[in-house]
Amino acid sequence: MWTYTKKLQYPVRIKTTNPAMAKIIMTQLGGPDGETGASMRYLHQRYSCPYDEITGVLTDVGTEELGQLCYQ
Amino acid sequence: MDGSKNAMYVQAGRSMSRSRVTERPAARAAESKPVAMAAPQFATVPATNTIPVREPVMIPARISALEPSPAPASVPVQEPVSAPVPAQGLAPAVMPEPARAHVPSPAPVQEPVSAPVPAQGLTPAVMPEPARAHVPSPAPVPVPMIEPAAAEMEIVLPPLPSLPVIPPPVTESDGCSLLAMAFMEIQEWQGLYEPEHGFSRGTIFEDLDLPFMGEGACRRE
Amino acid sequence: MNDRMILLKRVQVCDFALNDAALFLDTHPEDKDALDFYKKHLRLREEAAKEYTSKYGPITKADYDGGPRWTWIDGPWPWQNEEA
Repeated sequence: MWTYTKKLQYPVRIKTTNPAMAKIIMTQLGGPDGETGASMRYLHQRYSCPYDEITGVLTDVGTEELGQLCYQ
Repeated sequence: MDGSKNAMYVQAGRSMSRSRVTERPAARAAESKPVAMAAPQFATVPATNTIPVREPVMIPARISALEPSPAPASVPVQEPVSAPVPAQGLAPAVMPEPARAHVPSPAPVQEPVSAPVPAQGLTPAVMPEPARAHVPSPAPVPVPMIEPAAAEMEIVLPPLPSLPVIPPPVTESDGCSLLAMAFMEIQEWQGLYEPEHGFSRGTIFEDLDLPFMGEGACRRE
Repeated sequence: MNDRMILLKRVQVCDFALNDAALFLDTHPEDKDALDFYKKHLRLREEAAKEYTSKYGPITKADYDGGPRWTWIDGPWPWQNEEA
């Protein structure tokens, strides 16, 4: 299970809003190749892994991808 | 399509109707009574036999007389994964997500949003293909698939010697098969950045500090 | 950047280094240098986090300091701009 850490992974401060950029970001986050889908795929592939190293990598990468979602 | 399905199983030696009548010796030994249903038969089939290594080709009657030299190495139902995997440090196609899921950083008003993905060079090294694809060993020249019209279908089995010899998949003792292998350099513990510098570069390893390329990438050195 | 952001950034940097090293260790579980690196930065991270949480509130729910108030819910939340 996951722990929420109350900080951003990288400090971001938005000085000016930019709808075009927001649209690009939403595509990156959602959508077929987006972060959300990617993290879910990584996290679900863990269960059928024959090797521990791979399970570890999938867990960590999936968690990191989840962390990248937390900019909203 | 029942007829054609049966034909495929005939070739692979696992006809659905056959299994009711002719039981495998191994399965028979495992069960005290002969089982009439097909389903339990499959449950006792060892892993090596669940994926047929060769699938037969449906050849229309008129072609069967021809010399069957271009026997297809693979069947439409399963795409071979071994589109040549580059050996030097490039991620195979199995993991496209990390490479594309990055926000192009653009206008100066905003600091980079996306955190680093250290997975680029690292994860695919030990990642087998998700359990979908079946990798044949070095297949000969890929040949065009013969797609006969269903109406002219006749069950003709191509002579076996012309088919390429594909060894069965390697099976581990716990029943899972080796599906794919990716080849890539092993990462060493070297070229470390200071944490603050690594933080801005996106990775603490110099080996993984690579520029974004391709469409959607903004150069921002 | 104010003091809060500076302390928080120190935690972020340590966490990031730990994360990257952890990914390396997942595939090289016996690498001594990597393990030493991880141990060292874990200690640094603990110090940075303690410094931050003592002044500005919890980073995780486990950072509860035993006080009379559940400060976890207090703002600003990470996505809220400093100025706003």
